[in-house]
Amino acid sequence: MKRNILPPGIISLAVVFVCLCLTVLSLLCYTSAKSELSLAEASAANKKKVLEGSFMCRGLADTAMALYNEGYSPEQAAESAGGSWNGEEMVFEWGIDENRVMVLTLDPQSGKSAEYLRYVGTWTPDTGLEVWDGQ
Amino acid sequence: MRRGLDTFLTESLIMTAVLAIAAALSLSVFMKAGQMRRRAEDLSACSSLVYSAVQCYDACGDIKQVSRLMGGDGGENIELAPYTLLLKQDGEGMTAEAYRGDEMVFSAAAKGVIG
Repeated sequence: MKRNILPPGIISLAVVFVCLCLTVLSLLCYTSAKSELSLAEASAANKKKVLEGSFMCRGLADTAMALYNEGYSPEQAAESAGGSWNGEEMVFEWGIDENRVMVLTLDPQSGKSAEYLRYVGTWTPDTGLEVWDGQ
Repeated sequence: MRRGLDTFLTESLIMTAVLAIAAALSLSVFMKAGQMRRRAEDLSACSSLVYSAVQCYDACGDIKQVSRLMGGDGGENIELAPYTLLLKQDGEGMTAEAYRGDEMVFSAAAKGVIG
């Protein structure tokens, strides 16, 4: 009767392979989860900063409107509240980070306001990649 | 014969121990990754909920309307399983807080309409 015997060392090799697979898979899972978490944290922090910027601009605009309602000129009211007057609207700015500023414009007569983010960082084009531009 | 058996048993024991240690370490790493993934999911969902609530408040300036727009019944507590959104009216505007269970995940304040 012929006995089926595994070649010597095959069990050890299988164990080493299984350990290697477990290590690699767990590390991949960990790095992917970590990057997912940092992305979510960055996104949440960004939302918070934008909301805070908006909140601060509205606070300044509120102060300016109160002054305007007391009889200040639009220019005086805007400047007293920390903003500026561009001839048509009061403009309030609040820095969100080094590249972005939250801007709120307010027409004191109609009370209409608008908010937007202005990018103030300098953009440097990447010239490292050779791209055919048609010439 | 006896010596061969001893060697085989010792090697098997060592292999089993190595495999068990590797499995335990991997399991702990997988569990940690799962926690991080869940935290990321919670943060993402809660920040979106709070951001939406604040934007709604910016648009209408009324906390009851925000509550209804966000799926609540007009009250301060909005159940959005598995999260709870809590809207608090204060002197200057509204504060929105998002919870998972008892733990606050994200919060932000909103100022109402200018004027």
